[in-house]
Amino acid sequence: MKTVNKYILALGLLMGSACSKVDDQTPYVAIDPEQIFSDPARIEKAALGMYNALQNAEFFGGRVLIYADQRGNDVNVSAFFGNTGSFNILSGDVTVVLNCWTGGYRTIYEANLFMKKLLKNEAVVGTPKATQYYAEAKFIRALCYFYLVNLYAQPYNFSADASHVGVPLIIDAAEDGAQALSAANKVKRNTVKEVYDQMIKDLTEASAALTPNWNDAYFNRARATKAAADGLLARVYLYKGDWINANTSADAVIASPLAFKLATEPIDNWTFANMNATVERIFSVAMNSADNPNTNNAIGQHYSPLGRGDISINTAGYFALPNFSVTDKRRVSPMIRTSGTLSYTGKYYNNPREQWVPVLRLAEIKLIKAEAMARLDPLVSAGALTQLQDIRTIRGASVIVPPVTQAQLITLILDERRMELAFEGFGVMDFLRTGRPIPARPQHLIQNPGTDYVVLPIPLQETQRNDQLAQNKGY
Amino acid sequence: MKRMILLIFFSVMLFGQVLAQSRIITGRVTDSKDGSPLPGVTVSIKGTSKGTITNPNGEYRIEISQPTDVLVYSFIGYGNVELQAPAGASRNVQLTTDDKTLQEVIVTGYVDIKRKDATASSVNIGGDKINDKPVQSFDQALDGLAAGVNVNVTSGVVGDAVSIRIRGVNSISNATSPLIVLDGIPLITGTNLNVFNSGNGTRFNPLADINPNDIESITVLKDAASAALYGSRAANGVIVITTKRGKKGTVAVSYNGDFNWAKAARLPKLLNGEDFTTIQNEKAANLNTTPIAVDIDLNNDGKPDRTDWLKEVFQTGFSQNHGVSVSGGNDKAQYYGAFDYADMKGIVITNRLRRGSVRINLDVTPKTWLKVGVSLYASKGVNNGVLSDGLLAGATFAGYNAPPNVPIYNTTGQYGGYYLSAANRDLADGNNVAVATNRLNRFFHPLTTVYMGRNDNITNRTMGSIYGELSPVKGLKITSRFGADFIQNFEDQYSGPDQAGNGFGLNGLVQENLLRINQWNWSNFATYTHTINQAHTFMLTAGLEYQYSKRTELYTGQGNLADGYFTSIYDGLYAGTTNTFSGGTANAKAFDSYFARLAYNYLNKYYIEGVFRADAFSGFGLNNRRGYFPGVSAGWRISEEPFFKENIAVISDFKIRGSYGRVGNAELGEYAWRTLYGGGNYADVNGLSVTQIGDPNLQWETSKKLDIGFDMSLLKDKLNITFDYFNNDVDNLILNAPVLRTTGVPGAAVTTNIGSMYNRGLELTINANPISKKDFNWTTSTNFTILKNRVTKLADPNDIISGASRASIGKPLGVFYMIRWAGVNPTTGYGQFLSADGTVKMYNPSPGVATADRWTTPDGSAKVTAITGADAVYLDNKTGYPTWYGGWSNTFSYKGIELGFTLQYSGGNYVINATRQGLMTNFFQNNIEEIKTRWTPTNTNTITPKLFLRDNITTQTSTRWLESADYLRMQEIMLAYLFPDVKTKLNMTALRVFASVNNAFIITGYSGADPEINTNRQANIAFGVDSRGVPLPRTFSLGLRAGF
Repeated sequence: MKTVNKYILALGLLMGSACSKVDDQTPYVAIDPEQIFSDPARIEKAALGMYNALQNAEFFGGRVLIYADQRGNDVNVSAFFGNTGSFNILSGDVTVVLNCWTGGYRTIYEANLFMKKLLKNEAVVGTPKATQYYAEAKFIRALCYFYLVNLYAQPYNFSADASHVGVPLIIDAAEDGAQALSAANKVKRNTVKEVYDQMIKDLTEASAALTPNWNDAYFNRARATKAAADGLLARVYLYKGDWINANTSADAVIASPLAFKLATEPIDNWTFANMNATVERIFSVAMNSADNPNTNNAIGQHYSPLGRGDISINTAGYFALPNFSVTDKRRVSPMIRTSGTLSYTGKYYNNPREQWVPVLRLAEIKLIKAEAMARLDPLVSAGALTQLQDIRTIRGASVIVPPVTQAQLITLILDERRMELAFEGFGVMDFLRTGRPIPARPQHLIQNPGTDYVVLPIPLQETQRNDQLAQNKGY
Repeated sequence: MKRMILLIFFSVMLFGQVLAQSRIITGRVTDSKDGSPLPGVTVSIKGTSKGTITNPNGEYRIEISQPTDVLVYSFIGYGNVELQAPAGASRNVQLTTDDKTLQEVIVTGYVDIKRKDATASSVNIGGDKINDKPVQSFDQALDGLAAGVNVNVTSGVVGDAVSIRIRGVNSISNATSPLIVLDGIPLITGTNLNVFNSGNGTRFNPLADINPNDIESITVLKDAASAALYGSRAANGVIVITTKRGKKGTVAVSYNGDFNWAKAARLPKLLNGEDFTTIQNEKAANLNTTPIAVDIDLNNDGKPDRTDWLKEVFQTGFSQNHGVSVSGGNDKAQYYGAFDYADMKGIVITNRLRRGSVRINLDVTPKTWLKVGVSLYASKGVNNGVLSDGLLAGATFAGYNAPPNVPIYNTTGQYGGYYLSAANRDLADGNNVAVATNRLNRFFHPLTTVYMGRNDNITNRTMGSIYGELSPVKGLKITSRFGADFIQNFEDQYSGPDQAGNGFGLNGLVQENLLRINQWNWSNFATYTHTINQAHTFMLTAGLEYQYSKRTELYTGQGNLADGYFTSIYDGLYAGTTNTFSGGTANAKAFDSYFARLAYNYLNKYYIEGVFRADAFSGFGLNNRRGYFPGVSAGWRISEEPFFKENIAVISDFKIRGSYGRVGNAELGEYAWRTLYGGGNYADVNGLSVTQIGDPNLQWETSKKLDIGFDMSLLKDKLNITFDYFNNDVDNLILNAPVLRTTGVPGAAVTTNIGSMYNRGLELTINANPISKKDFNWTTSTNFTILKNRVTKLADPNDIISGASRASIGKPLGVFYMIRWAGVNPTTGYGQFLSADGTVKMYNPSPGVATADRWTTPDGSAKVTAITGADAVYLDNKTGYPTWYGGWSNTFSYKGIELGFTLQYSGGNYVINATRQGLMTNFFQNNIEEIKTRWTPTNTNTITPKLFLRDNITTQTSTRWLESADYLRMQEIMLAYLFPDVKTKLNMTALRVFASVNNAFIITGYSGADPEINTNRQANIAFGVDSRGVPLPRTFSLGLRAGF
């Protein structure tokens, strides 16, 4: 008996060592981070992976732009986004308030983690290459913070020194689950000033380190360049009200060796086939059909009647803009499409699943420069007017009555921003930073700047789990 | 633990010593029915304490001191035999069964234990309970049959996932389904094989692949003692299925067939065209908007077009099922073979599942010491699924929402004749005004989503196993068993170019996913049974087991098909490459395990048993890879004690038992502990992005299970009672736990050990045979379970939030946390809510009111702060989980007639009736009849507020939509005739026809389609949401069973 058992045991142990596959299981569809940050080619791919994170379906996949516009005056309120557009949103709104917040910080995390891992393995790629990568990460981080701070907090000029609450400024990353679960993550909201300071620091460093020219059609439009960093910096300065620096940064973009030009036809910026050839786009979040085969989230799906067609134009607001003539190229097909009784923007009409998400293009830079110059000049800035006229001429706009005061010029520029940049994610933010009320639409009354409901609530789930996180007033 | 067993063993040995003198009698005790030897029979001398028990061959040896001594042969479950001591030295005795229950075999997968010897809590369900009635899949048949087993049929779509919970929800993570073992081979786990639409489109339950007619018996192992042999996978209990095998000395052929007609038992009552128009226009008028619902008469018949969409979407489903089996054998070989074909059409149009299967079970015994068997099962299922709940395009969802004042068909014949919009092929708006602005969601045409596309899946399942049993020496049996379970599921989805959504957007889209799961399991174990001094029986089992499973998926998709005629991706049938998709995924996991079990019993009176299992699972980090799972149990058959036997005649058998042990739960992500980067392509260039953050400290989730119970037979075994108290303490609950979103980690979650909880409860089963006459027999069986769940610890003291439910310390898992509804203000008609402190606040959705002015006191006199999520409160002890449930079945037979019914009940839980919430919306879409009770100046005392177009604050999730889900269901009424005369004349072994109705009626206060519907299928916290689930069917059946 004992012998038999011994044999069985021996046989068993033999089979044990031969048959157990417990210790050989490695993932088929994933790699250990150590294997990535020890190889220069893989680090390059991880850098591009930050842009993959930037495609976040709930954020820069396009929805963050939509939320800004849902609360502006150029589009109709869409029931798909709940009460976002009616300024009646609840802090528990998962679809918008929580998912947008989550998407933003998820994107930031990818950049933070990349920087943290790279810092430990800088030698693998060498300092010059590493500096370039850090710059890309900082550009992406700043881009996300720009939207988070402007949607979830009052604008920079809400308090004198921007000391009012902004959003939590996260510049470190959890490297494993234990760190992600740590109570140290229960952070306070930083002030708006702190968030802006970080964005300006990140973008200034990015501008200094990023290549002016990738010598690659795709990278020059879809990957951060020096011009992209300068362009975003110009926008940040504009939102901060730092006109001098806004102007300087805008000039840096205009001086870029990539020689951006306004597109001859406005639709040229929006034709999918043209994305790698557009002369006006400075930076976009690239997409292709594989990024969005089945989701509702693509920006084109929401805007194009060929897709879901959730968002139509608020014709009573947008078409009524002063100096927006019916022959303006931006007011007629193919830039405007109709379906039934509704009008839709033509910007995302065709290939709704594949449309690149616009971030920066030369028209915006010229308008930033125009506004900065106009604000700096107590009279009517001729330079500003030139920038404005450049755009209006090429867009086939009507001839304007020359402004006679600084205020008139600024109004013209702000109206022009809407004509040109509508549906690209400036809606509510442009009203708020300039202290203009948001006009009424059928779903809501006029919303005055500085009132409680013009900013999104902090997600309820977050304030409930993090007692350090203050809720916005009124929610 | 081992030491303790040894101690007990020695002490019992001493106690069991018997003094020897006088004459010796030997003999053999056998079963009167089949002559098989009966081991463990007590042979005692009447009036003395002397006795012995028979050895594994049924042999005994006893010494008598007087020639007048009377020998008593007693065996649990058999009638006692008393005989004068024989004159000679030997006496053989036959015993006859009088209680079948106790002879029932509990199949644990490794060892078979008779019920009388069991110290663990388990339930046995005979195959006839499943074979004799029409069922889609065997798991659905378990509903209400066993104490502690809660089966939740969550939708009326054929082949849909079924959730099984044994003794409550025992895990917080995704898997709470028990381990299912078929003929000793663990089946592939998971409740849904389909992956499209994030697995929430059409769902396919892999258990639907298994032919219910092949099932001989099902044993449900509930406590640690019975389940601990499965160690790491036993936290949710184990269901052990035994399939039919050939019997010695028989040859049989049988046919089993049924025909069934099914209809939705209850459907939402939607508004007709007239009421729809009134209600929608009232919503608009209250918002100072001109009418939005305007009739159309497209076919110019002079009457406005009307459509009852539910009538179009639901149908009477017809199914049939035919099975033929052959079985038989002699001493050396036994066989069982079966073929089955089932064709099941559901209650939703086009929904159909066909399954064909073949099984062969073969056992050969070439030598007395060798037995070898092979089993082979192959099945193919073709499932024509329908999208239902969860998707706007789902036939039922679209049918509920669609306006009833537009026609089904157009008059031009374009778009396949359906009434669709030119822009995006949604259901066209008719003359309704500004639909796009006033609707909440798009209107999909309920019929095109079904008829213009395809949502099929084809499964092929092959299970094969081989075993060998070697008995080299007496009492020793060595078993080696290898089995493989292979599933291939080909998911095939097509959307036509005129089908709204991807079909239209991509000019026709085909998507295919090939899922393959291969799992093999090899177990090797030896069992040694030995009896010392004819009183002490030991059974030692030890073994090892390996398991490996790999899952791969290959995906391809193609848009822009050459022509509407083509609906598949074949060569040349598409142009361009921009809408070509491909992908897939793969993962694998492995176990290796060592286990042992030692059972001891003394004279069938005292039982003690210990089990131990050590499992290594690849899903854990190196430091925590192996888990150890011990268990002990003990039983005391009081009824064998002289004091009991002599004094209490009414109780024939009474056994108290208890068990305690630790088991684990290994249902977690294959690589959950790792931090990983995966593919992160950025449009056209390759990239790598972080895909998962792993917790390196992740460790086993373990359940400490305590069970104390008794089994009692009384009134000459006419009444059997089983009672159990259980306490299941689950520690280190594994959850893909939400982390603060600001950390930004992928999925906003980390798989980690988040806390502890317990499930405590009582189970009672009563089986009785109150009337047993020659012609009339009544058997009845009832079971009842009551349970209590509490979360006792959370790593982060803050609640884990999932929808309107939470995991919160000191509260039951999934406790609802909601804003409280305070009814309708009779003066204004506005909705009112309670703030956290209990003050009533009224919400005014009237036009022209600023956001900041909408919330007021109920009299409207003062502005108040808005009701926000911060006003939600715990609804103490209200969760989606039933706290009591059970069943009651009865069979009456008179001559050849059998009448049976089964009632099933469940309650203590609440369901968010999101179907009702969705269908009471203020947006433009169809509503339910309830909305007609809305507040109007002439109807002020009501539960439904005044309707304001697009107001969704008043209709937000609150206690207004939370309903009690208590119910009593007439699960089955069956009338059968057994043709006793015809059967004899034709020399048949069985002939039975039956007519039955399933889900005959339900008594419930729940206002939705069915309180059992739950659309948050796999969620364990946010459990208890009915969001437009497909109602359960009521089925009428006719069936025939014939055996020769």
